[in-house]
Amino acid sequence: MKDKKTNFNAKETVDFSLAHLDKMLPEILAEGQEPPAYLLPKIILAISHRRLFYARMEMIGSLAVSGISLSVVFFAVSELGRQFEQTGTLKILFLAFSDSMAILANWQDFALSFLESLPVWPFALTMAGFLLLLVSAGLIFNSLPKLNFNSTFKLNN
Amino acid sequence: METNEKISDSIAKKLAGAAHSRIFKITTAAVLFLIIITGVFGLGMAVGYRKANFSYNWGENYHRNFGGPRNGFFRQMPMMFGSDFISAHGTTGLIIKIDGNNLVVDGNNTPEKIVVVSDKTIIRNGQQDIKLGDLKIGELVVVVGNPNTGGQIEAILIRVFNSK
Repeated sequence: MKDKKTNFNAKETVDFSLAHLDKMLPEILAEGQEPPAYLLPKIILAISHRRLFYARMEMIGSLAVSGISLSVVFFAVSELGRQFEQTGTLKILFLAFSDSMAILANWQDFALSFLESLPVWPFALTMAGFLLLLVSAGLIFNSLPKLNFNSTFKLNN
Repeated sequence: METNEKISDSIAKKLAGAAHSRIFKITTAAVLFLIIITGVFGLGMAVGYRKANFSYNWGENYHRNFGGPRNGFFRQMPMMFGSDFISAHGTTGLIIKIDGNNLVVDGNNTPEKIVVVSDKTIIRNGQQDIKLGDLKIGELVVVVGNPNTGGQIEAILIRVFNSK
């Protein structure tokens, strides 16, 4: 079918290409075309640069997360210490060593007294901060080897 | 007979393999986790209920214990970060008043509580057992006891720390 606007006939075009391909194919296969010599190192260099870029981004992100987690831990620990002082949790715990016999005889009341005095939210925030710090430290240690440019790519010979 | 033994052996081997499979281990870990988390949740509910109950009794009886509005101050107490209901089974603070068998203990930024001292209460200062009359206003004490319906703590053990 001819396109009325462009006068383009698809069938004729395909038939023409196939006919020429039959003639050109033996020449193409006989030449054994190979890529230029500089292409392989260029590709390797590009991959190494890209990997180094991603490693740097990962390191920056990990450092930012660790900074945030350090500030969270610092705030949470200070608040936890203040709450321990206010509620007397450590003093109640001290009773287990100073008055162990009396505490053993009334261990349920002592346990409830200790649990009631625990500052739950500051403690949970402290644990969350430490967990975040551990995860960010793991990410930093994981991304450190990747920052070595020479080790970002190895040829498999 | 031999066929039955072979079948039972094969079943036993399959069951043993299933017990070591990844799905079995994950399922066991998940069930154990649910048990632990349910136990912790129940413990939290038990502790929270006691604190809330004592806080209610403390507020409802405030005018009897300390004097003040008949409706109590409980509804007006602000809930700040880190603070919640009043601890029911103990307190830590300074003795601000001694009234017969009752002590009024004022905690650091926590509401004051009345501690009821009975014959069974153990009062200790250092390594020595002391009496109620030996306690002085301004002494730092730690109290472990039981709450009563009057918003007071019936002391089991009172330990005196450094006096101020």
